[in-house]
Amino acid sequence: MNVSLRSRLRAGDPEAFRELFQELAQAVHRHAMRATNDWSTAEEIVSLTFLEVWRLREKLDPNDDSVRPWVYGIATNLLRNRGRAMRRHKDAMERVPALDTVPDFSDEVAERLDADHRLAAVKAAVARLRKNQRDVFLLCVWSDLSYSEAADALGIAVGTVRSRLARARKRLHQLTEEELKKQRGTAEPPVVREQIRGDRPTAVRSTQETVR
Amino acid sequence: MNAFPQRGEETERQAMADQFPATATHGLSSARTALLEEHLMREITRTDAAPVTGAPRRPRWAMVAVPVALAAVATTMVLNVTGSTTPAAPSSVALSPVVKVLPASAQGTSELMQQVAAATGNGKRLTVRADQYIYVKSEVGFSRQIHERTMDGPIKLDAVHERQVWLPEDPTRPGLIREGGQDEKLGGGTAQVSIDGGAPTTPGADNTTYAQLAALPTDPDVLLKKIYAITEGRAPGRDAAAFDWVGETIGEAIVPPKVEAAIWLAAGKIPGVEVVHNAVDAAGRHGDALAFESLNERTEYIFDKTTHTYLGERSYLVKDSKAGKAGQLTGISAVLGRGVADKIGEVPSDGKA
Repeated sequence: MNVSLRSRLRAGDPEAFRELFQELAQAVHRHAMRATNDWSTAEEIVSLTFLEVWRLREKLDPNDDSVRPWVYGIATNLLRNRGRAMRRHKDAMERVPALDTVPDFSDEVAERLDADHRLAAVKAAVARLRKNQRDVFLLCVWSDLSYSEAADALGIAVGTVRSRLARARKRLHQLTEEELKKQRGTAEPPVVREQIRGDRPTAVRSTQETVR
Repeated sequence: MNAFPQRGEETERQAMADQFPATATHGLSSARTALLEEHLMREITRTDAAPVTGAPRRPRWAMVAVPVALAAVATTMVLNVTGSTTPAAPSSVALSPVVKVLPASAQGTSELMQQVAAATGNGKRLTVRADQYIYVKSEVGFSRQIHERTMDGPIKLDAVHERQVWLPEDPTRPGLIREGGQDEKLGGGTAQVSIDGGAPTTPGADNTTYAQLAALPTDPDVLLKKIYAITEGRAPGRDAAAFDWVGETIGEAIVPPKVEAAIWLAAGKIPGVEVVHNAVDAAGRHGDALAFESLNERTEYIFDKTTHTYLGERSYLVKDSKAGKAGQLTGISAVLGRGVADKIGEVPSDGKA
């Protein structure tokens, strides 16, 4: 992103806002979708994120950095708690053009997923991560933010990003393995995948965190 | 910090992405993206006052959910659970949109919170079964921007109105908000086929449950650490986020007395908290408050002067700004009753807090 986008946004230029939306709306939706597994919530997060971007634009630091981490930071806050933002932007949210139907889900994607137990297991495992670890994982791995961008987005130190990600990785190994075991219990043909090596037995199931 | 972390880091992130691949998601269709873009552009460039009466109110969940059978909203329901204090009827609350910015002082915070903790810690412990609902009735008013072009421009407080919530103890079930004569379902609705073909999910209300609160530490210092951990990274800052968490957690929930006592003691330890005497909640009840200021907004949690129980909260601007004058209210509430309901829509008769 360029120097002028940030400063134009800070100055309240609607076209800068439009550019930012065009650049990031889809990505924020994917991010929210992976965090919530709920299509309409993800769309709501997109709208709220950009309404908050506009509201908070003057709080952007006047430097030349990319605005992207800041936008992801807002989205992450909203994924944790969107109550206040919903109240703040009540009118604007009520005016969001209605969806006539739930969008058309592609069958091929469904089939592909059914065929791939690993994807399903990873998805379930990520949902069970602790929130702090999940935030870092989603940002750094699935949304491709650098450690320092994720640190900016979350307002934490880069070292904290690293250590959380390391813990998330360790935990994901365990959880993915657990999820695959669960599947084998139910699915007909046992799927053996060589690349997943459970590095430790999991005797006790972790306390589950709810997906937000 | 390593000055050149990029290479190793990218390899690391890539390796994780390979090991833990993301399911493809459709994301927004380009048509929908364009529609949202136009909508947001309209919203941020609005210059007129928000046409409050113009747009029909439509619960946002109605967008995808099967319309809730709108039970005729019973206006006859009467609940008086506040004991000695009888709240004024909503319409008769003479609410000034601008309140006096009272002096606040860091002195006496821990004494106030000790009193509050002593009063709440001995309260009756309710039990909430997994198939039940937490019911909270309150009076609320929230602010909104008048000129949405700026979004941080002048704000106006909604008329204070009644709000009732039914929050499922099982957060995967739907809940209900009944506010201003309208029902809004929380979560639930149609079983949605998830976008990427996973198991159909029925989103729950996703509220904090009694069981989750009961699991919190009752040592205030340990709890405060936990609160910081829960709110880490939230705007607008560490202490402000912790203080907000307290209000959002206590406001619409049933909290085990010992945990509530610990929450208040922990709140009293957040750096920057102050005491404001003679604050007023949305029902016109006066009391002492624990307050915190952030970004020119002071938020107060108000307690009854004699019983020291939580009444409600209010927030307002501290100094004149683009958003309004000093004392301009940005939000106000009063909790009138709490109880445990067996069903959504049922008003518990024993709903004493």
